[in-house]
Amino acid sequence: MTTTSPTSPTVEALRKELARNKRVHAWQLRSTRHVGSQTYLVKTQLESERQTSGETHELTVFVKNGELLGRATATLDDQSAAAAERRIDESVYMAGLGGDAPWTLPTADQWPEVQIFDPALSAAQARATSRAVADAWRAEAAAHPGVRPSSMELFCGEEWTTLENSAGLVAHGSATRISLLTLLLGEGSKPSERYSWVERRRASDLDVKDIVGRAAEEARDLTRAVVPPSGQYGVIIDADEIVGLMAPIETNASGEGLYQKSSRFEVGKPLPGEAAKGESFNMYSNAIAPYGLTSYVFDGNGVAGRRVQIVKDGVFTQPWATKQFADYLHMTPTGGFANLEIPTGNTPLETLKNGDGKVLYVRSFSWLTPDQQRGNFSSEVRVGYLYEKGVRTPIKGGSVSGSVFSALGAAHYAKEQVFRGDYLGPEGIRFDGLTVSGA
Amino acid sequence: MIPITRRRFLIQSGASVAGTLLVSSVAEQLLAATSAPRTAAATADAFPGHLVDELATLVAELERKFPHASALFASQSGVSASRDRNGKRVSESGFPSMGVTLRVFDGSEFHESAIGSGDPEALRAATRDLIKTVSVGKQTYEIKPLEPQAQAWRTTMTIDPATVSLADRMARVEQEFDRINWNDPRVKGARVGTDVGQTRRIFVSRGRRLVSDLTSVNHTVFMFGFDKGHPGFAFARNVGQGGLERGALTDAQLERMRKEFVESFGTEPVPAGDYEVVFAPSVSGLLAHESFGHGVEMDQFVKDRAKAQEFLGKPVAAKIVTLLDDPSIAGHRGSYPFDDEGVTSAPTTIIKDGVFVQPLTDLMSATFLGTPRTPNGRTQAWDRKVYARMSNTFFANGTSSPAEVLDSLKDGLYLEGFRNGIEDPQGWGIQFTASTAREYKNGKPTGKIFAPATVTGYVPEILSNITMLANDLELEPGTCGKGWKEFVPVTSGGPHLRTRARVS
Repeated sequence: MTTTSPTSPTVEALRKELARNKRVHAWQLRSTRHVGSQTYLVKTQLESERQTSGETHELTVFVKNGELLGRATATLDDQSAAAAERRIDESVYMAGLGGDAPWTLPTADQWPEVQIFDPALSAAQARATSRAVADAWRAEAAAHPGVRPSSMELFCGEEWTTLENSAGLVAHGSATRISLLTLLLGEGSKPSERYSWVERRRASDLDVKDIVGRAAEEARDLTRAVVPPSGQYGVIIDADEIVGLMAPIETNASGEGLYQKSSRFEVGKPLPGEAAKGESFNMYSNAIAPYGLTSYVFDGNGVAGRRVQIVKDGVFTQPWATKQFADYLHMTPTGGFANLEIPTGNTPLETLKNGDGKVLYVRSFSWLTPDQQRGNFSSEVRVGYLYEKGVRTPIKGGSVSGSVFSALGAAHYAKEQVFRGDYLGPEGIRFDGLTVSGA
Repeated sequence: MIPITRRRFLIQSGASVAGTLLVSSVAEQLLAATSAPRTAAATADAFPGHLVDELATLVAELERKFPHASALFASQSGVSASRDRNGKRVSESGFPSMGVTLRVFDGSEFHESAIGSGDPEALRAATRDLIKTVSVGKQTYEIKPLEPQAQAWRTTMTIDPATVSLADRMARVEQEFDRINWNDPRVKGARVGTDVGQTRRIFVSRGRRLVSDLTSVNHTVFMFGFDKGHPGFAFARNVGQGGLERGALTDAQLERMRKEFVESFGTEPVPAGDYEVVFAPSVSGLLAHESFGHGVEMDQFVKDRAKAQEFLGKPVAAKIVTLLDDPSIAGHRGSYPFDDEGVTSAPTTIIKDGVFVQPLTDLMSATFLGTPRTPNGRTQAWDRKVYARMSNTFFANGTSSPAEVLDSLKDGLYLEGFRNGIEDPQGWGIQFTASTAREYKNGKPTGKIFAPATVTGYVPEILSNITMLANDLELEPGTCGKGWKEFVPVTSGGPHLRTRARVS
């Protein structure tokens, strides 16, 4: 394995040929190298262990095509030095067949300090850490009465990135990631399973005891779960589902959406939806959150990571925008959308759960995929709890439906802040006005 | 490894995640076709070249120590041409990747080394590492070698993309763009794109040398707009293996898309409830895929995850229901000549006349459970593990005409359009979402359209409630995840069918 660095033969060859090719107006080169370890358990026995490694160089060339700027990308591996000239020729040809309004590549910037690397997950340590986590998982999975392990998958490793462009920008970064899939089976009159998928940047943020413990409790509870009663009543959506729920906000708040005129949002105007009856909604894209899954020092084009407020008190304050769309909209680029951050409220989660009447707390949906434009959604409850008169009843089945935009008009945010990989915000958000369809 | 995260999947949605990828080639072939001087490009893409022999040598070396060894080369590449109101582009598309997985079995466990390169020296180093670091253990299981076979496959095409220049491809995309109804002031934007993808596989094990070079086209037209502030959109596509004959919509498809666009402004949420329903073929496919597709992937049996395990040989659906998985049907997105563990393709009947008769296997589950192998061991890419996966999964035709099935719907909903779904193999719950549901009263459509329409319920109940199946089987392309990861191209389908379900 060669290393991705300014001295890589493929990178050297590409630089040389890019300088020689007169049709290339601008270019960007993103080199990535990864080393990883994968472990698969069936029940508690090792099924398979895998080691992975690879290196790629993604070259984007820009050519002038009349008033337009053409662009094309080519991906090369670490054995492609001899193919550099040919691949650049091909890319120049492809770029010359199209074009968008011109924009410029970012220049060198002051890079923020962003913590996204954990030595325990580095290439040298990935295999050992993987085995230690697998052992911890085995021990924890055996420690809970009424449940038994079905399977586990564990991925961890390191990725190095170097980004350079014709505007003089050169940036390096190294990031780590660990991902754990836990499947536990609940034993009872009604067998059940609980699926948990947790990803973090740092091994110590992957709390195996807590993950398995929570999955075990829910697997046990699901053996006696019932379908929720139908009606309109309070629904708390857990932090694990908030990123999915807010996807239409992210989409409509993008610079690209505004430029393409596909967005429903207008800068300075309230989000579409009903008049606010709940607490005001605020939202940030946070690229510098420590160990956030979507934190970055620089984005795909080399824009420095930052924390940006997108919605303030229910009003769309500014779009998030990559360099291309920021140029089109004559604004400062924010970089790609990063970790979702939502400020907490003042009400403890326990109070939100135990309001007047029924409250359904949805721990996880089967698959929450709101309509990106309308914001409408309907999803089956995979795991939930119904709180009524001080009694907690496990729930599985039935569905929750509504509109994200309307729901935000009647939202109450929990006081407790949690970090869930790419989400930093309230542990749960209570929405009044969603429809529960069940028994 | 560039993981497709759940967020990325949600935002990009199924169709675009499906877009394919690169490394060397389709670009080279296309460019080679554009003009004479590019002989270097034409000769540079020598697939499979010496790689088959190289992998066979490494497998033989590994088998000197291990009872079973194999090698899989997997690559994905692609070139897209697209046009929207703001510009046009030709570029590499999707998530290009190329690499080799070397696998050994020590008698109880599998060990793999996955290298993102076809470099012989890197492969030899990985082979040496496996021999050095993995011990042969207790011989708990035996893997029987497959029959010797040496064969290569290529996609059959009417218009081979290699014979059409990229400039001509861009021109075709622009023509398609001009066909969109720009006179309607509600149309604010549209995008036309044609992706040509190439998927290559080499599988080598003892006596087996299989090579495939598959070309697929993903032609998509999307339009969006607003009417009095209400958003609306519609899309249509022509997706599958083949050549640029798939690179345009028919007039009927375009007309249907325009109608859906206009109708999309007036949709409203479904009043949740239990309904008599008729599913259009694409929605029947969602039911097939999520009910007895994922639920019978046999790696789930090994993990005690599948309720279906208790029902092998027992009735699970109405007697008129037969369900198949068949990667050997040519030309579809889920088609392949052999799976990623070297089993050549053939149809598998999963449910026959309402009885569950055969699960889908990968090597691991067939080995651990001692059952015959089916051609369903598949991987997302070289750096991911193989699992038991579906290919083209569908309900077989019934005997009624589609009109007879629709005419039978007195008060209920007619669900059309493929959105997404998720499995629940242990709980046998089901969730899938159709684009629209049309209300029927007294045997006639009322004109009211609901969107989207999510079906939830209990698998045996929905399957047992199927009372009519039409004879108009269609397959719909999609991308299938295992849970929320491990994405592979598939199709799912069926004829129009009638059942009863909870819709919200």
